[in-house]
Amino acid sequence: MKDFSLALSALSARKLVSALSILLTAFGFMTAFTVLQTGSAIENRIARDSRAADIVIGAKGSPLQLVLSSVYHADIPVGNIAYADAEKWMKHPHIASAVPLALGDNWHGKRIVGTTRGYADSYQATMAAGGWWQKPFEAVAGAAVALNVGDTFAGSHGLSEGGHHHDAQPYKIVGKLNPTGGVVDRLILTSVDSVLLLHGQEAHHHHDDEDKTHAADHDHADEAPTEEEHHHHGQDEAHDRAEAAPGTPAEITALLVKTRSPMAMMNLPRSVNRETALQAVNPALEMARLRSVFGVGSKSLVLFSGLLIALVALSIFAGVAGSLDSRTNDLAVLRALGYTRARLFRIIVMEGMAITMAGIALGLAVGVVGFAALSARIEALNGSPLISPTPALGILCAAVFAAGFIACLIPAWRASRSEPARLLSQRA
Amino acid sequence: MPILELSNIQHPLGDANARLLSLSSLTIEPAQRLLLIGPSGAGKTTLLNIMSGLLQPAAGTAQLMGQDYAGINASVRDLLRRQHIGFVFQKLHLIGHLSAAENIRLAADIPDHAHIYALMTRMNIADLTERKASQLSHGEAQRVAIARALSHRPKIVFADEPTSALDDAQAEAVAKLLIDEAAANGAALVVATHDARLKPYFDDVMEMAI
Repeated sequence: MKDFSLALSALSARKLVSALSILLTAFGFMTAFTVLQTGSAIENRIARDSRAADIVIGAKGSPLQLVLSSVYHADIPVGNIAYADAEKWMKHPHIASAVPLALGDNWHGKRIVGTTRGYADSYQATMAAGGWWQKPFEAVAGAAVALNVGDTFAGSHGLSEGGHHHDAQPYKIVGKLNPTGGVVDRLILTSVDSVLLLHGQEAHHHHDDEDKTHAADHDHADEAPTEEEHHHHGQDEAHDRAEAAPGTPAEITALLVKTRSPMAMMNLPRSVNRETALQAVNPALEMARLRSVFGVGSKSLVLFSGLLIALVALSIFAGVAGSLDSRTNDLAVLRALGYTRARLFRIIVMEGMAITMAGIALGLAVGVVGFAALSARIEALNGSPLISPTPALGILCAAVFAAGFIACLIPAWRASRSEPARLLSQRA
Repeated sequence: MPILELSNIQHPLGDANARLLSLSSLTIEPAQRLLLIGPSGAGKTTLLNIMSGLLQPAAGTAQLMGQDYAGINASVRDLLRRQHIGFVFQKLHLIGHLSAAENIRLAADIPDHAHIYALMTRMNIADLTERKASQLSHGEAQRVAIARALSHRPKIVFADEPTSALDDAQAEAVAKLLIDEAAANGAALVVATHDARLKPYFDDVMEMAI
């Protein structure tokens, strides 16, 4: 009888214990897989969404809020900055490109972003249908926005649903982007002029080509509230004020900057923060700070996964070792029949590894389905699915495999010590 | 060449009186039938363990097929036992979750299926092939255990108390089965027992006393 068949037969003889061990292994693997996948997907999303900017320049205030509002579109803006102030930095020799952002309105919760084509390009967003805007109040919809080419809509004031509608000046969708898996999927992009004109500020003629290299000569406006206004639900007030005063000097919400060198990325924020009334923030540093504050960094996920793998190892150990006492005679018989200690060791390791492999396979199957479901749920919530290249999957499989092997060693060693001589002493 | 040779064996029996098993010389030839008979505590099991290489004697030498157990490592000893020795335990020790055929095939790495089938047919257990050992009657299990001991064509079979707790008819049937099958396979047979009913079936009887 082949040793592997013998191992499988032994597992099959204690179906309940084996099934429990496999289920526990699968559950541990699946949970670790989901935790790592989700963490990895979120990290990827954070990194992908921030690739439009090495530095964000905006109004003084909370640096994290500036990053969340301008890069991730997950918060209200800190305030506005005068275009004239931003323009000085656009022409700085250490800046490779600068993209302006003018926020203030939404359509059913999807932000309308006044910007340049360079913004979409920085996310490698490509056009699925239609084309780019050519004149004010033409817009391009992200993949997760329920608008298609030819649709018209009126923006609502504010950055979330519920503000009053700009019915007098509807937008028209002239282009639809392909999915990128990033923040741009859930945005409606338009020219900065559209936002400026809608809110009564001086429109600036700008050129996308210039934006891509050195930020172009734009006037931008933004009706995003100041910090103080946030506390008093001031968006509407700011908006009304802007609309009531045509010709107000152009303001923008933020400037997304790509630097020419890592050194510039480090030094430029210091210069901006020291020498001007503006604030410059490195998004990567701010997000790292946020993660460290809440302890949800990748180390925590790895540690948690490590604990789960340890639990998996314990369940495999229990599954294999738990049966040894009742199998003492069976193992001694094999020894008496000439099975070497090494062979017995291998058979027990095979039992443990069969549990491990079955657990991994089951956990992987359920984990993949579970992650897909979670991704779909997140997609339903914010428009973009979690997409992960699963870099941790191979490592996790190897770790659980190794844990299973280690968990088998002690039971296998015990089994290999079975003493056949005592079989001849047993009396009926 | 003798199958088994013991000389100047001495080994403690491990009882309170610190008695020793002492045996100056014992040789077992091919197809020989030897009965070790004596009461419990006489050292029959200790001697079987020494003969099969499961126990190293405190003094003396034990050789199987010309190889001194003491001169080879444990793994080689295991393989030697696997190749040349068959066991029938008093408690049979079939593995309950395996079928009768699987239990029999455990004794050989490359089972001779034709030989095993012929053996099972002769012993009237061919129809039990797929039945789990845990579902066999004692009589069926005893025949499966004997078939397992002979399935790999060993040179020698050791049987420990094979007829204890059996009535006369059953004891005679088991003794005849063991002797006939060992003879049919050309194997020597060594039976350790306290059952005097077996004496008539053996050429050589070695009395062991306390």
